[in-house]
Amino acid sequence: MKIKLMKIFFINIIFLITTVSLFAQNNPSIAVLSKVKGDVSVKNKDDNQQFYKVNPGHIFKDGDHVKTALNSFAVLIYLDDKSMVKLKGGTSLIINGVKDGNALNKNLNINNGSVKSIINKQKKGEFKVTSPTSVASVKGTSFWSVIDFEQGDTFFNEEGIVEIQNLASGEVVDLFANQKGVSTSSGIINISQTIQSEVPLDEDSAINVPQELRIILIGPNQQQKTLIIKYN
Amino acid sequence: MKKIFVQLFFIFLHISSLLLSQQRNSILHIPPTSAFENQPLNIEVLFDGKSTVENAILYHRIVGQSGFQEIFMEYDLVSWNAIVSSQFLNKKGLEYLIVFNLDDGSSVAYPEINPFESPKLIQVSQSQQNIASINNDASSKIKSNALILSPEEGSISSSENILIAISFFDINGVDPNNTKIFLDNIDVTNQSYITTDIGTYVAPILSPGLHTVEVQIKNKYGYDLEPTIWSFSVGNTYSMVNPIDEFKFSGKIRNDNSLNNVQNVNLQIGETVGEFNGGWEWLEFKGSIKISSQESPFLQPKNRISFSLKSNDFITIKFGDFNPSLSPYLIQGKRVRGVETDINLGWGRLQTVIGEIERSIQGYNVKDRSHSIHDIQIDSSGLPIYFIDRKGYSFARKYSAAKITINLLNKFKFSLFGQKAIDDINSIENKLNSASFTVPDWNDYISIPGIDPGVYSFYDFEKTLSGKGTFNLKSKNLEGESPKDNIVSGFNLNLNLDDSKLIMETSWAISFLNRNIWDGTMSIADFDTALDDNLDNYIGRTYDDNGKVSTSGFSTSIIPDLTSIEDILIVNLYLTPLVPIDIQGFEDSKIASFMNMPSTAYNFKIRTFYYGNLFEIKYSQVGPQFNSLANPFLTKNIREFVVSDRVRFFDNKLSFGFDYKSRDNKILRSIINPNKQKSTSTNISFAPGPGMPSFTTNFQTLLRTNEKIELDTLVYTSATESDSIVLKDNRENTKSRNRFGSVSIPVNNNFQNFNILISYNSINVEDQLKLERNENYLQKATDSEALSLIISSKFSDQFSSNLNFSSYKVSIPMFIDSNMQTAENLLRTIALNGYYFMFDNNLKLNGGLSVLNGSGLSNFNFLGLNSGLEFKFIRNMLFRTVFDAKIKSSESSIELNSYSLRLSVNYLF
Repeated sequence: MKIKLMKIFFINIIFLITTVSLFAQNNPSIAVLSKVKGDVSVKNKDDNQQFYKVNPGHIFKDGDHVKTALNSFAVLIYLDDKSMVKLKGGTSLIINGVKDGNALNKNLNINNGSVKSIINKQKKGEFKVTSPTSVASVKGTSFWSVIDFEQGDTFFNEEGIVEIQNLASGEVVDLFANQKGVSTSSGIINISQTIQSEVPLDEDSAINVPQELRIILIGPNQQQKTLIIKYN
Repeated sequence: MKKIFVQLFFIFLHISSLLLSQQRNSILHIPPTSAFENQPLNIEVLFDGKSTVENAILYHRIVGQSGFQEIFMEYDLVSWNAIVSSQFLNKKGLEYLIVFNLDDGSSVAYPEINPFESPKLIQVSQSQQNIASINNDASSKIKSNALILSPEEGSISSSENILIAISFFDINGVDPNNTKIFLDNIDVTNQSYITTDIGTYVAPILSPGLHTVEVQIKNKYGYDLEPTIWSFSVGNTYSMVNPIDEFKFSGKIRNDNSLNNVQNVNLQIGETVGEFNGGWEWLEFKGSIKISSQESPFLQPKNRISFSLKSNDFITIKFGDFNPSLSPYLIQGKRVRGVETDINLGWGRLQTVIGEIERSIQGYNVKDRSHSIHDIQIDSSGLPIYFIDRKGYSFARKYSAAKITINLLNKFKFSLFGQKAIDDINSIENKLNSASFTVPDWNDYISIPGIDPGVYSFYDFEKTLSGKGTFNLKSKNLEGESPKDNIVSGFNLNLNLDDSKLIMETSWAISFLNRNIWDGTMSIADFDTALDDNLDNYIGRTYDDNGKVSTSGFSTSIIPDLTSIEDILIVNLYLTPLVPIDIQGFEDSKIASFMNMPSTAYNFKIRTFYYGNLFEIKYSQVGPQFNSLANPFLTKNIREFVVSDRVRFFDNKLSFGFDYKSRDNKILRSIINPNKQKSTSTNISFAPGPGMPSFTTNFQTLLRTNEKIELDTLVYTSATESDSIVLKDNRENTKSRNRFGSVSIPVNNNFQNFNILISYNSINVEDQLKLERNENYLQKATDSEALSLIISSKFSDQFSSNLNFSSYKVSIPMFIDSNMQTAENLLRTIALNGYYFMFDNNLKLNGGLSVLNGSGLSNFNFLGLNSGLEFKFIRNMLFRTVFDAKIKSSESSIELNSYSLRLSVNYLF
């Protein structure tokens, strides 16, 4: 009897391990780091290791924690639809992307910092930016999120519609193009017209701007001439 | 009647929706009849629809290619155009589609059905020119859904560390071991990172010019997929940026004028505001000015002018009017006119404020508002002397503050802060020549004649008195307010751990306020006797009947010379506190005495954010003698303990909140019957997402007591010296229940959006001592109940409306015919407002009607009318006007109760 029970127990264990092995999926890649200025570091969700510095080409998994040092900058691109997220210096966020068919359900969990999201039309669900105070949801748009628990989260919408929910009061407000929304920990959302000088600087458009283009022309006798086009 | 109205409203909704549903957006496009190899091709499209086009994109590819090229089409006031470059026209043919993205978030495409699956095909005719095609023969390969991530097709990149990345996210079964990446026909697979999801290669350095990437993908079944090929350019970087081109600016100018009339009392207000922001990446400046018609020399300023400079978040300097916020114990939002600096180096920060928080006001010239005669005597020469006082003024209040912060890795922050606010005695003119005052009859004071009684201006008074008498104008300890001196200092400590998930904060501050500095600093001897009545060089020392020391106190020798610190603080008898700690209490309990110093304020807070819980514990206390002249709104004599938690589920869609607050004023031991208040509240919020119904509920219970258990006894003594006793019930012990709930139901279709919001709120106050009280005791509490229904409708981009029904019932305990009864008052409102946009949203018209019916304690009706328009008559310039009127009808009359008119012009640039 005892042996029989042991057999059943081991068969069950083997069945369980096999089932788990079959159905367990590797944490898929969800985004790639395309640009870096300064120090950008990452900590993986499942590893107990510390933050380590990363360079362009680093692949993000669901739950990775990204931090940019002061005066640093990073751009990451989601793999499913090329939606882009730009992180300014002093930003700390957890990048989430759960695979749902041929799309990712995306969420940026930001503790603090400034992020620009350029979101292509989502195949499924919404792209979300979550902070301790607010949740911003979009299907496709371009907007800035400046997360600050003390002063309130500020969202600058550049195009499309961003839905902002204040988690303290449950209030939900639509933010339209060229509008600024401030969501405070006291439960209030204030909407006003965007003043351009308040919008954070997009360093991606300000760094590494080429000013010269060279085209090498090869003649019939293999002589080379270079056409240089300079521009501002 | 109501039923018919409701039915008519819904019929109106239905008809509107049917009519508006006929409108739709469409693309009018005739495909080009011919296209030739190696020749550019123009694609022209017309858009027909009510919506505004955000952008139009032409997607095109050579037949057989996997990915599309994107071109943003240009609008020439008639049609949208894009030119397909000649390199994409070859004998294989051209496939294209067009997508219009509209401002309402929708899109229309050509072809309408499955445009990306079945794009429009154009045959390309042969030409004699022979160009090199970047396309491979891919006809026999499986279609690839690879997505080019970086660099963009046709983009220009810098020469270093270019990331080449392609996503295989939408391809099943990529074999990373047999997938290859080529850059300019060189195999870079060995230096690449390739998985089933993505392929990346970081090119260390590339020469300027055009570069081509080819990714050859093989799946795990051994089949080749169509290669993905794209090109980009590399340029050099030069720092030849023209500062003038880099300069960016924006701003606005607004003018508001309003006329309000309430029961024939007029109030006109005009305000002009200008803001200008500009600068470069390294230096930004901002200027603003506000000119108000309410500006008056007899009030604190309503006008504002400010200018600020900011450089790379490191340095910010503000001039003029600004509202600094250094600490709630110093200043938090009060206007200062002066200079504010903020130098932030990351690891350290210095903030300073110097200026004026109140300006001097000399006072009104009207009778007896600024001067008064309080006595008439006869001087040594035998002539009358008039003693004149000064009042009705405000001192200029000088202000300076600083805060220095050390920040270690954003985890540990320590700040020291301090402020000084002092009234400028010299800011007041002692004599106001135009101010008039009453000269009393000299007969009431002296026996020799003075000047005739009456009202004189100071100038006339002086002239009339010349040769007949003299006057003595008081120069200090004036009848008006006394000048004050205030210092506050303290610290702030902040620990930010585990990436802001665990935050601990504490602040502590102490204040000194001198309420009268006319006489300046007092001596140490005065100080000694002021505190314990004994001039013994000890403060707080007490003696028994035999003259032996019973309480030791402390020596005055440890106190510095008070005149040496008068630039910091003027110490005299009006200083609060003279000694910050209760000396006698200190000997009983050192910790309690220190923690309950009446002129201190402090708080301690822990906040955690784990497992979706935002949990917070906070204790704060502000002593009854804590004073900051720069933050007069800080509540004093209060201590509060708060615990709150908010937990979220289902991707933040459902949240529960709970908080507990306990508040009382028992800081000093001398408080016998402290006011205590305890509240608990629970909040539930569910918002599943846009387009879905959401609801919020909140329940709060509030217990309020003053801990009195007996009635107060008042003894009255009459003129005949007979005593009478009255018992007064000042006990307070109430329990309030506040319930709130709201449901929001959106109803959407393609063209119309409706939102129905229903909310209910009731407040019930129960006297816990009701059974013990006298039947004639008047309850102070009132019960109320409010219910509202708001229907917001958007019938089209042009037309929207709001319909509001609400009722509010309030029950007020009162004596009616000498009996305690509960009287009810019911207010019911119905309001309808509509908004209509015309001329491409450049004109917005709005109007509305509302009826308010009041019944119960008082019976009346209000009929409200409002209308307005917003007109954008040139780009970024908006003209707005609003008119509102209310007509009141009661049993006795019908009258125009109030009206208001507002005009404003707003220009953004």
